[in-house]
Amino acid sequence: MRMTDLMSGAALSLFPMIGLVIFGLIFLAMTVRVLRSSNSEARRHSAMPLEEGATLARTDRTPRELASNPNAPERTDA
Amino acid sequence: MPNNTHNSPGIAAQSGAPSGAAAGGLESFRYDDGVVRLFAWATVIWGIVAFLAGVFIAVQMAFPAANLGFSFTSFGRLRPLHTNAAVFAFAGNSIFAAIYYSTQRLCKARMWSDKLSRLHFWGWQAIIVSAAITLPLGITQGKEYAELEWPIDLAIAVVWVGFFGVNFFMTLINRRERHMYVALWFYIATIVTVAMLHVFNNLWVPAGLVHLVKNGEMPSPELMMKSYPIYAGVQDALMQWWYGHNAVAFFLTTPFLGLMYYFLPKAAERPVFSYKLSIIHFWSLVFLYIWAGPHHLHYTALPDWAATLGMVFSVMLWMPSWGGMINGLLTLRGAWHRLARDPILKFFVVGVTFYGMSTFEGPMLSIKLVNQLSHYTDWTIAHVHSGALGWNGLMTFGMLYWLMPRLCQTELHSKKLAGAHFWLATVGIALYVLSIYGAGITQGLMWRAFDETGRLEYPSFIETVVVLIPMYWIRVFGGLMFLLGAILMLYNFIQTWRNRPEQYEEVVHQAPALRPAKETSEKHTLMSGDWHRAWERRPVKFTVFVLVGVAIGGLVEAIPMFLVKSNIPTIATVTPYTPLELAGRDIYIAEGCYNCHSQMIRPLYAETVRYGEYSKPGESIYDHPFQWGSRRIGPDLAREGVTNPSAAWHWQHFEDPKLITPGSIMPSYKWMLTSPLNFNDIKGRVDAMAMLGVPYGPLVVGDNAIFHAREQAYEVALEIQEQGGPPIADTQETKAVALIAYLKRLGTDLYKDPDDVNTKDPFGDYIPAASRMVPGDGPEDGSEVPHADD
Repeated sequence: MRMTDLMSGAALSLFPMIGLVIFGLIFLAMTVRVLRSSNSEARRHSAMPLEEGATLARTDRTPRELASNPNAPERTDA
Repeated sequence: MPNNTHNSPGIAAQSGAPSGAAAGGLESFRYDDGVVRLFAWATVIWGIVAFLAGVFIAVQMAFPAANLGFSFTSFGRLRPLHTNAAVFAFAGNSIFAAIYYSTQRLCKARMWSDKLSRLHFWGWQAIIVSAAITLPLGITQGKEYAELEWPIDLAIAVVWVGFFGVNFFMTLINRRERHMYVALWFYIATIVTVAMLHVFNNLWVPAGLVHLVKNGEMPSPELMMKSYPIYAGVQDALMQWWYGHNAVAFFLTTPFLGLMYYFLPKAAERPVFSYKLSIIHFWSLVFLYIWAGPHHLHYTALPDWAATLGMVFSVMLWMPSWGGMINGLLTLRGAWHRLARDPILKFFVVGVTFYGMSTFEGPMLSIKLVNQLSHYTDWTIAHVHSGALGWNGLMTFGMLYWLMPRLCQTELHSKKLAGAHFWLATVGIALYVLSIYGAGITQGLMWRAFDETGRLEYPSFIETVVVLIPMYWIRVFGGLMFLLGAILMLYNFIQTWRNRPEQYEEVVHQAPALRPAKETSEKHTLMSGDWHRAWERRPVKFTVFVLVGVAIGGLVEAIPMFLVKSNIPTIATVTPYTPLELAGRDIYIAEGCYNCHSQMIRPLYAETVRYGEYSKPGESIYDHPFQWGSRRIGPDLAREGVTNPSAAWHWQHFEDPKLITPGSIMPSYKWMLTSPLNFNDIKGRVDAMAMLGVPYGPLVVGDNAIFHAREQAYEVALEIQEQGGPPIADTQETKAVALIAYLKRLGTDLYKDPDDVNTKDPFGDYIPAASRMVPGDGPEDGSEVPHADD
């Protein structure tokens, strides 16, 4: 029996059902994940765009200059 | 290659801070803002090109002579240029600028490879330039938003996956922040899904290469660039709109949501309203979007089950979309007072509001009853512009106004100009979409109007066109305002850039290296939710699950469509196009006729009365690619061969459409009446189609395809002459004759006698005329008879 015959024998209404069931399960799982997560963790994550990491130093030299001579004196204001 | 960490002993020594992976496990690093600058400038410049092209073709809608009579400036060829420029050049560069800026900061890491970043930038610009050259030349696959031909498709795959994808994922893997922020999830979904869509919608057979391999002859440049998709008819339609809809979803929505989740909090200086909501938003959106494509094909020859599935999932999509919009707008809580004086926030707020409007309208338009009215009208055009200009455009402008001063390390030149840009853009969009909503609904209602005697109230299609012209002029005005706003932005940014410091300052940041994720002894049960938290820290695993999520929808729709026989009932009288008709079809595609004409009569009474018997799935089994179209600026052509078979009519119509149909907005195609048809290319075209399983039988032998085409060209030319057109000698070698042969064929298969058709081997009994002819046999007018050795 070929795959085409097998699929043709299956009821077409089955395919949309499969989709809806899979979506329902994923949605349920996500809802559980969200409800169970801590508020403090969510608050910390929601503020992530506002963090940029600690600034160590500023330099007006290009990366190429830094790569060629990293020890040369330069302006810093860390 | 990796350049994530920069040890800077000089800096560290002077600042007294640790350097590289020095004391305390801290690493110092710089962000690569150079590549962000490049993408930001490219966004501004390509945006203006895209808007200019849009205004130019909008003028042609109201005043067709504005194409100046050139083939390469006609609406059919420039409309794909406009859409590609808007989507892939403007929005594309915008999302790259956003991704390169925010990913580095969210990962606390420089992009993995500067070289890949630059290759990505220059590769993408080269692709855009290739599109700008090939599309006006009529080099196109003829599939909306996937017009670019196969060599450019290959380049897109290399740049997207090889340069951009590798660089992005390696940056994620080498990040210094444990949790992947939700914006990164949207970027992940964008990268993997666009790659998947691009590959599966661009599986083709290049005709030039087939010709080269089979015959050992160098093909013409035109044939070299030509390809045919492996899918045909219904299957091609499903694949194309699975791609087309999800190009909107994963190129114009998910990356912009990532942009929103990063830049909106930045601009508002407030954290995201609800991170929990963003998680639900992400997974629901990503999972649901992929199913929605078939709603572009309601009432077409696509099986009803697939269309219904698309509709149901489209309606469900409304909820996560609005969840995202609400999350965006509520992020501004506590910052609303700044709205009046901050143009950046204005752009973001109106942009997010347009997202909400578009994502309400989209599900509404996907409902079959609404779609009956809206489909093929300007309503769809208004809908996509409310999304593209309102959501993508305004979000991009907001991001650029926030980003450019930071990238140029100076103040924005003029806040007032930015404010003026906001109002020009917003009023411009309003004028555009309101006039085109009006045009769409007006035309849709006129197409289906019946008088009291039960006949069509507007039987002549042109009646439903001329009434729209004033609305088309308003659209031009709205588009001009939008364009003017973008020009103000360019001026503002140039002035800002001129105030930049002599040397850009490089900020050195510091963060601890990421240690391997802790393996806990706790069991991750479903109910604990910890399993997802673990994915959020593992980019590869997360990516695999996203890919599975988006693949499910595509597979559940595609597998039955390709494998269930009952989806495409065969019709005994449907045969392949003749070689000349095939060449004509390729001209139809090259000229972009599908941008204005559909070839799909829906089983609706108003349509069957106007155009004839509705289109059947089995009629387009040899259509590589399908040409059902998405808009009727001119009438449907699915039964053109039945309702309008006169060759001379078409000849004159190409010469001057207004002469045949007063008020017509179709431009003259005079150049086609003199452009010579390359008959030698036809061999390669037929060979490529035969490779796809089209039963051409003896036509793939020797030069039979060319002989067959010449014989049919002669017949069409003779008909033109007999119907009062120019003499055969002036017509039979032209492109117009091939296109006429194709148009005369459209929709006729259904009316053939099955006893006269051999579907298995339709050209089985073909013998070239030169072999059949005896001396003295020929037309009485003395014109040249096609010969096998011509």
